[in-house]
Order: sequence, then C-alpha cells, then structure tokens
Amino acid sequence: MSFILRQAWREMRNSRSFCFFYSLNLALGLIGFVVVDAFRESIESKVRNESKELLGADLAIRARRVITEEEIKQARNTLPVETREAKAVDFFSMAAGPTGRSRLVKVVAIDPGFPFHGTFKLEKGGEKSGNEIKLFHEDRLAWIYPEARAQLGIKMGEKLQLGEAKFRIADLIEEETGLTFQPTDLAPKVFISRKFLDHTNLLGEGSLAYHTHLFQLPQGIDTDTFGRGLEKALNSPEVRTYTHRQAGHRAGRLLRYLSDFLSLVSLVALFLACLGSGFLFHGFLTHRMPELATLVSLGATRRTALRIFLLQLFLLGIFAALPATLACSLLLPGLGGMISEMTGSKVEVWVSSRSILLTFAVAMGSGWLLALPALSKVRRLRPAELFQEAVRPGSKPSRMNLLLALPGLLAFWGLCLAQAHSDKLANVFFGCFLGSLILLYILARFGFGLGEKLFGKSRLSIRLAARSLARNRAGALTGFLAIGLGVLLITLIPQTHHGLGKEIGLDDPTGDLPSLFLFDLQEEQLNAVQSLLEKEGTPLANITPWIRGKIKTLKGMAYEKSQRQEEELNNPDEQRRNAFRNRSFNLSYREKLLGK
Amino acid sequence: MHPILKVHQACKSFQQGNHKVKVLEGLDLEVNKGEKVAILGPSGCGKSTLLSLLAGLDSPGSGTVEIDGTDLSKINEDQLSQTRSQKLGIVFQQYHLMRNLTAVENVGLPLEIVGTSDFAERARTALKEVGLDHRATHFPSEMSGGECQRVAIARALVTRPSLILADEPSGNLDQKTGDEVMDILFNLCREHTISLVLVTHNRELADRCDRSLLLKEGALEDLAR
Ligand SMILES: Nc1ncnc2c1ncn2[C@@H]1O[C@H](COP(=O)(O)OP(=O)(O)O)[C@@H](O)[C@H]1O
Ligand SMILES: [Mg+2]
Repeated sequence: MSFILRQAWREMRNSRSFCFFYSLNLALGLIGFVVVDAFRESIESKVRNESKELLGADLAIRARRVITEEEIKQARNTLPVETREAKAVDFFSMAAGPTGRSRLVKVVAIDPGFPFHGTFKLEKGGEKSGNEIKLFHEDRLAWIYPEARAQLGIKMGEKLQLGEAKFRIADLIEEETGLTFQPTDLAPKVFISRKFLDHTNLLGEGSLAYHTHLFQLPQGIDTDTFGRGLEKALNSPEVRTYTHRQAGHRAGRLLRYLSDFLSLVSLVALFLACLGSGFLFHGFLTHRMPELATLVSLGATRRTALRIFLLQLFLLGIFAALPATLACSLLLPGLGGMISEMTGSKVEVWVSSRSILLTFAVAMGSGWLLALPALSKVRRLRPAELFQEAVRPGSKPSRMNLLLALPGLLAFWGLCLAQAHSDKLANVFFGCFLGSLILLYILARFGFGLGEKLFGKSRLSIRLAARSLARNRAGALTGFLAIGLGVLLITLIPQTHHGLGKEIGLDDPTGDLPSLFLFDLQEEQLNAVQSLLEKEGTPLANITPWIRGKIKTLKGMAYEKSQRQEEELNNPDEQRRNAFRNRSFNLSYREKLLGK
Repeated sequence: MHPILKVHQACKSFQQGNHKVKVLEGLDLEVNKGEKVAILGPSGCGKSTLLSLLAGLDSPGSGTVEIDGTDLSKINEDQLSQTRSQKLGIVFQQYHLMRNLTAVENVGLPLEIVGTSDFAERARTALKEVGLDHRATHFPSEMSGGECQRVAIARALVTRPSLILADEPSGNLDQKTGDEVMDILFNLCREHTISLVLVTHNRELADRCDRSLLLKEGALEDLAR
C-alpha cells in the first residue's frame, strides 16, 4: 500500500498542471451542483415551512360536525406520543356591534397553542406565535379583521355581541396563519378563545360548524407517512385528514418547477465538467502508458498499476470537492441575500451536510466512473512493446470501451432521479439527454469520417485538420459532445424560462391577468367603485356576481323529504352522512371565458 | 543443476493484416548460471520478440519457457510478476526510465515494488556500482544517454537477479559510450555471477560472451568462433 501511495503522490507531484486542471474543471462543475442543490434545499424547506403555516400544524383532521372522542382516540393511537394537540371550531354567524348593526362574520374559536406553525400579526400586539398569546385565552376577548370593524362600526375596546355573549375587541388582525383551507372567505374572521365558545350558545344540535383537530408532531418526523396512517385509521368520508403538504401544494409548485429545472441544468453542467475531467484523465493515462508498462516489466502487477490510478483519482476528487464546498459555503449566504432581495421573500441558502456528502461522493465517484473506459486500457496493457524501437507501449484497442461508459451514464440517471421532484421529469430529461448524446455521437462519428473523404483534395491545412479530426477520435468526439450539449443547454434555458413565465403569467402580453382582487362588493357600491377606479386609470375588469345558494329540492323532491326517504332505505351510517351533506353552494357566471 | 533459462520448441507468430507472420518457429535455448549468451541477427528477425517471451511479458503460441525451473505458462499473473521481480533484470535499448523519478528513485523502484524497506540504501549502492552516485538526485531528462543506460543497468541489477535480459543496450549510444556501458554490464554480471542474454548487432560485443547464437528463420544456430 505504501508503495502505491508513494508512487501515486510522486506522479501527481510531477503532473501538477494535469492535476490542477482536472480538479479545477471538476470543482467548477461541483460548485454549480452544490449551489443549485443548496438553493433547492432551502426552497424546499421554505415551502415546507410556509405550508405548515398555512395549515398551522403538521397534521389536522377536520369535519363538518363534532369529532367524537372515539375518533380522536383512534387518531392519537396512530401518532407518536409526544404529539401536541389543539382544537379549533369555525362557523359563520351574525355578530352585532355596539350600535346594533349586525353583519355576517366567520367565528374562529381556538385553543391555546394555536397555531403551532406561523403567527398572528396584530396591530397593537405585534407578531405573536401560538404560544405567546396565553392572555387571549384568559378572558372574553376577540381579535377581528379591520373589515369587520368598518362593517360593524366597532372600535377597539368596545364589545362585540356573539350569540348570548359579549367579547371585548382586544386587537386588530393584520395577518394570520393557520386553517387556510380556502383562499378567500365570505366574511371577515373573528377570533375568540374556544374556552368561551359555549357562552355564546351559538352551536346547538344540528348547527353547522367545522371542527378541526390540529396535531404537531415531534421534530424530524415524516408527516406524510403519519398522515396516511391517520387517514386509514379514521377511514371516514366525513373526517378529512390534512397534511401541511396538501395545504401548501399550490404555493410550492412553481418554486419546485424552478428548482427542478435548475437541478437538471446543474446536472448537465456537472456532466460536462466530468466529461472534461474524464478526457483530461484519458490523455494523462495515455501519456503514462509506457511508464506503466515499465512498471510491469519491473515486477509490478497490473493490479498495482490500476490501484495507483484509482488512488490518484480519489485524491484529485478530494482536491476538487474541498475548494468547491469551501467556495460555496462562502458564496451562498450572499446569494441567499440576493434572492431575498429579488423575490421579496426571505430565502436562506446554506450548504447542508447532505449537500457536502453528495459533493464528495460525486467528485470521487464520477472520477472513477468516467475513468473506467480509460482504466480498462491498463488491463489491456502490452508491456512487450517496450522492446519495440518505434512504438510507444500502449494497449490493444477494444470495441467494448463504449460499454464501459454505461456505469457512468447509469449513475447520472440515478442522480437525475434523486435531484428532481418528479421521476417523470427526471426520466424525460435523462431520455432527452441520452438521445441527444447518441445523436451527437453518431453525427460526429460519421461526420468526421465523411469530412476526411470530402476534404481529401482540399488545401493542405483543411485536409490535415479533417484528417486529424477523423483519426484523433477520442479528443474530437469529447470536444464535439461537450460543445453540442452546451449548445443544447443554452437553447433549453429560454425555452424553460418561457414555460415558467407562462405558468406564472409573467410575460402575458395582453396583461389581462389580474393581480389584485376585490371581494364582497355590494350591488349598491359597485357603480361608485367602478367610476372611482376608472378615474384612477385602473378600471375594474371581470366583475363577476357570486351568489350563495342552498339546495331546496333533490330530483324534484323537497330536500328534507328526499332525506327522510333515504332514512328508510339505508343504514344508520349513511343516514348520518346524509344529515351532514353540504346543502350550500356558490353560484357564479360570466358571459365569456378568458383565455387563461 | 538445472539451467537458469530453458526454452523448448517456442513458436510465436503475429497477425499482420490478413496474413500470419511466423517470427519464431521451434526455438530451443538453454542458459546456465553465470553464462553469457549473445544473440545476433538482422533487424526484424525476432530478437526482441524472443526477449519478451523470456521476460514473460508475452507468451509463446506453443512451446515452453522455464526460468529457474518454473514454467512461465503454468503460473498466474501475480506469480509471474514475482518471478520477474526476483529472478529477472531487463535492460532496454530505450532505457525506459521513469521521467519523473530521480536516478536513485528509478534504481530503487524494483525494490519498492516488492516492499523492501531498505530500498534507498541499496539503490545508492547499486548506483555507485555503475559510477553514478554523484547523479543520484538528477532526473533522466538531465542526464546523457550513456548515464541513463547506466541507471537502467543499476535498476536491473539492484534486486540481484539470476538473469539479465538486455536488448541492444548500446544501440542508441556512440561507440565509446557504448563500450563503457557494456564494460560495466559485463563486469557486474561476472562479479555477481549473473547470467546474461545479450541481443546485439555488434560482433565484437558478441565475442566477449561465452557463446554467440544467430537467430535465423525463427530458430537459433550456433555461430562458430
Ligand atoms: N506486436 C506485434 N504485432 C505484429 N507484428 C509484430 C509485433 N511485434 C513484432 N512483430 C513483427 O515481428 C517481427 C520481429 O520483430 P522484432 O522481434 O522486433 O525484431 P528485431 O528485434 O529482431 O528487430 C517483425 O517483422 C515485426 O514486424
Ligand atoms: Mg529489436
């Protein structure tokens, strides 16, 4: 071993420029890879946190009726013991201000601790997490949205009538998280503590209210698995299970597209870097063949020779990965700041230990995999040629060499699958990549041969160039592949940019996608608002009526009647379900559809 | 006592394009301990091919090569390497030194390969034997052809092999330097009772050996003095 180490070191010491360019090349590819990987990971954790905030918890079960103790027990049994819980009830109700004016509000009664993730942003109290609002639960207090204040004509400190109880307005809500199941609500929210919900006497037998049971799992536990377990355990169509992932699904989709795209681009960059380094190594090895042959003639085995090279590649991989991760650790915080500035939302980018591990694995693994075709030359070394005067000892040419590129390609496929969120995307990407690789390869093979024939009678310089391309196949092919893939990649970028833009509606030429929405305009307000906005130069577009309705008849029969009939026919379980069937619906119409 | 080298009915042919070129055909050779044998013959007659068979760097199409009683075709690659490093020293016409090793490192290399611990000392001694101790830390590119070949001779002798295979060692050198190098080789072989198979064009050099053989039509025939 010590001889192998010594010899490997000596050779590297004496091939400094090769080592430098090999490592530099690989390091550049790795930097791109690590940066994108870190970016991707921070986006993912951002999306994860945001979606947790949308739900206010890791997991929740929600029903349009009271969730029974039995069901809660069932749920608890599937979850880890340290799981935290909180209940919330939300329903629509009329509320009255001090002047007696009443309006529809959405009452949300919460437990201490709610929300587990995210905060309340209050006008007076500032930003408060679920654990910081203990006082709120001590008394009959209410937090309301400014809209409710205007509609009810109520001021801070005054009392709001909810059913049979009065709640003092303690603060105004600027922003709040949790229980965000719908993008908009019909009525402004009023938060109260669930302790005092009974005082209102609003919820009686058959009242319609949503009951939510929220769970916070211990740190580092996979929510999805427990979510599925929970769903299975409850096995009820009335009690729905929500994981934060579902809640944040839409929010994260675009960012995931972007990070997927970046990941795959960085993989191509990495591939190109590896190709470059692999080619350099090929040259280095070819150059070394006579000395290898000499080593064998002095009594070393081919295995020893091979080990020397493997060790060198290992060391060079470290030389590439070390500065790459170092550079990234220094650069990334700055990049995070830049992204935050550009997107307006806080994105922290850091290099995770996973990224670092992956980098080192890729640096060393890629060296070995890419060197396989070159290293197989060592196996086929012909030291007998040392005795020949004119020839430099080399190895028997082999047609199998191309097959040895296969493990490298497979590993690349694996990386694609690991780095992209969807397997389909990774496979399509890899397929296209492989396709273009094969196409370029065929093009080059036949192109160079054809070129030699075609330019056989041209000027000397052209003739020599064509011949050299055809004969130095390894070099010419590598160069051609690298340039070809690079060009493909460059054409791919605007394509994807366009696709993403279309998805977000960034570069919509007509500009008729709205960026602001106004809700709950009343008929008598409409004209005034319209003329005001027209004066301001931003006329209202797409005014759409929105009517809330209630099912009265079902298949020509009064709804209650059809229900009774079913009662006679079906089992008690279905009766119960029927009783909670959602009778209300939203109606809207528009004269024509928009293009988007 | 068995001969240090024994070749029996060795044949070797090469595929050159569409036709087969028979280079060696039923060649026999025996070399005893301490014996010096010269092999003569015109260019392209197969002398180097023969040496590569003797060194076990190539294998004969048929027939056997035995070194110190071991049939080279009957042992695996590891054992072959071991035999090569213990019993054989090879001197090439083009020296084949490691470009990026110093003279003393080059000489010590065969010892390092087999894991000898005092390789540096022994390499220095061997370098002194060829009169190059003042060049120990020089690289091959900093030395003349004659000096390079002397380093190569020291490298072949450092393991104290039983047999030296030398392929026109003075072929790339001028007359005077060549003679100096050959003197060193002959003296050291005699001193350590090492057998020598010397391939050469030079009749004078051949005459300094115990026997001279002519490679002709794939076989060896004795050259009368
Ligand atoms: N690897 C090989 N492939 C094909 N032909 C070879 C090979 N090695 C040697 N030869 C042929 O064998 C013959 C003998 O070569 P060689 O042993 O080098 O001759 P010498 O050393 O006597 O000048 C030559 O005709 C040469 O072309
Ligand atoms: Mg020759």
